[in-house]
Amino acid sequence: MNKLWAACPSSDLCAASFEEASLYYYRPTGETHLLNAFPREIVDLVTKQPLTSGTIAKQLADLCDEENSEAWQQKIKEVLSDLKMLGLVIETYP
Amino acid sequence: MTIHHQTPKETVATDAPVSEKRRTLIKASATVPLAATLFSGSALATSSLACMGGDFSNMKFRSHGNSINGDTAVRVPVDYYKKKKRKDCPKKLRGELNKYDNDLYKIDGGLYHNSGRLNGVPSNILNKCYKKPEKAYVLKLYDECGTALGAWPKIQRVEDGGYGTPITGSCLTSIAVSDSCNII
Amino acid sequence: MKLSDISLKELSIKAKKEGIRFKTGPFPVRLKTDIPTLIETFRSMYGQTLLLGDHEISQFHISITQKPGLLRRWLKPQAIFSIDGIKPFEPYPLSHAFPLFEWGLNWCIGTTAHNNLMLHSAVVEKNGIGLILPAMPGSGKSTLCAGLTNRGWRLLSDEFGIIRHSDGQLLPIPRAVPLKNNSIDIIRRYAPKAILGPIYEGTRKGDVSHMAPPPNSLENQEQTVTPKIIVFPKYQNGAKTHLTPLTKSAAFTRLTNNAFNYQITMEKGFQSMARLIESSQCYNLISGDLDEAVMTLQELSEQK
Repeated sequence: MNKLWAACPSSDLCAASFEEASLYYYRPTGETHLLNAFPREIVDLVTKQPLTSGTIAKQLADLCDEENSEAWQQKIKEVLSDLKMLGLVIETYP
Repeated sequence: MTIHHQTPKETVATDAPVSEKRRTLIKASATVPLAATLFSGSALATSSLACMGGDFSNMKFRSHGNSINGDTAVRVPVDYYKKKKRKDCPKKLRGELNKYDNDLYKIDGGLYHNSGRLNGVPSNILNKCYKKPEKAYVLKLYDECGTALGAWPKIQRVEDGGYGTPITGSCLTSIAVSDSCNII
Repeated sequence: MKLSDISLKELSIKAKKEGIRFKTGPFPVRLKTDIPTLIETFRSMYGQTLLLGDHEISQFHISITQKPGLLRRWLKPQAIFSIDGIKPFEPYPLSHAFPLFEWGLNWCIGTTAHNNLMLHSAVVEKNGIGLILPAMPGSGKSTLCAGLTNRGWRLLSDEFGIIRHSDGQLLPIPRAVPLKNNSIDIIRRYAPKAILGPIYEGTRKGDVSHMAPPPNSLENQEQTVTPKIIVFPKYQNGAKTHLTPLTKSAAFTRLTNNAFNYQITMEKGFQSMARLIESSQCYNLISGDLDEAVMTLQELSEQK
């Protein structure tokens, strides 16, 4: 079964979005997180619907005109891992 | 700017085309994605009131490390490696173990001890004699143009503030202020 | 009735007995002291301050007294600061009682007054434009603040940018501006008419002298202002003055690190900070010349 990435519950967040980055007040911890455009886009994608990291990698590769290489996919995984640590995304299963 | 009181899904149109501006920002920041946590400066601000000086020395609040001066430190997660017990390391690699520090932080692709010493640990030793890395928060500073000055422990101290503005604000990631680093 | 309306003798008696009640910005304070030099300097700095009635409730009850002891009275006499009966600091030399009062009151405010968002910044105002100058120690903030104040800007505060959560307005708290070391002479030359207090040598910040808040700052300390510009100043000896725009997310981060109570104020703090950043233009300013720095900020405010 493929692991999916989803956004944390919307009630956990209060966001302030600027052109180049967004700040998120994360209610469970009281911390404020700062995401620049790339990780923000990942959060936005999984907010629309839960996705596998492979799908996220493909969509972003297309958006950025990048090759969906192993290195690219690894980058996505690392960012997802960081976002999970911050509490902004969660792992889920269909 | 919009302030959302929930995750901003309501304002993200499902099939809205991505603007060129937004695409450029995403593409530019793909080289230096930043997911960081703001560091509360209250201790720093308060210490200046009582004339105790004001730098981040020895501030370990929810971060490893310390000693970065400047008002723009953010906390970033990095991989943190701890060495296994000798007996848990394959015999043939044990002889090498003493060459490398027990605790290492992965910063900009290098493995650093908390003294700032760079460790060139071969991958076989790292994989077999160190525990699976955990995430640890360290402080990171950037300059006005969003160039990373570095993170502790790779940099031990930045005396002159370094200005550190987080990389979001930079020539690399923003169109609107692409000339923000030009000196008037 | 203003402080300056009372004679020094009467004020000294009052300070010793029931204490002097006054308001600094939104904070009512009661000061009790038996130290004559403190009263004298306090009166010269804050002459235009209105006194509160003896029945008024004070938020901070401050007492600064000479450390008792027969030997201590003559050998390195000291002053002790206490707030609500607690002594949070080591004694200061008696001759430094006024800086002790200033820093002590700042500490009280910075560590307890959390019903607003408090930034570590200077704040000045001109033509309804609030200019916030957040800064690390040693950045030259106080010198710049003193410079601006002497070129037509109203001083709201040298130390605290107080943002009211309900409407984002900046609340004034006009206090004496502490000038350190070389800045004392710089301001003396830049503003010969500014009122400077005695020089206190050998403090933890070096030599310090206070510039009195101008009368219009004290008279208008109930008048809030809308923040419009945020400038992070940095003094660099010999540097050419340059002002560079700062993105809002970068300003948000830096301002958080220059806030006394961002984390404590939790979501309200976040929302107040976001609203502040959204409504302001944000810049870095590097300069090695006070006059140029002041003119640059003047031009910037005229563009708004």
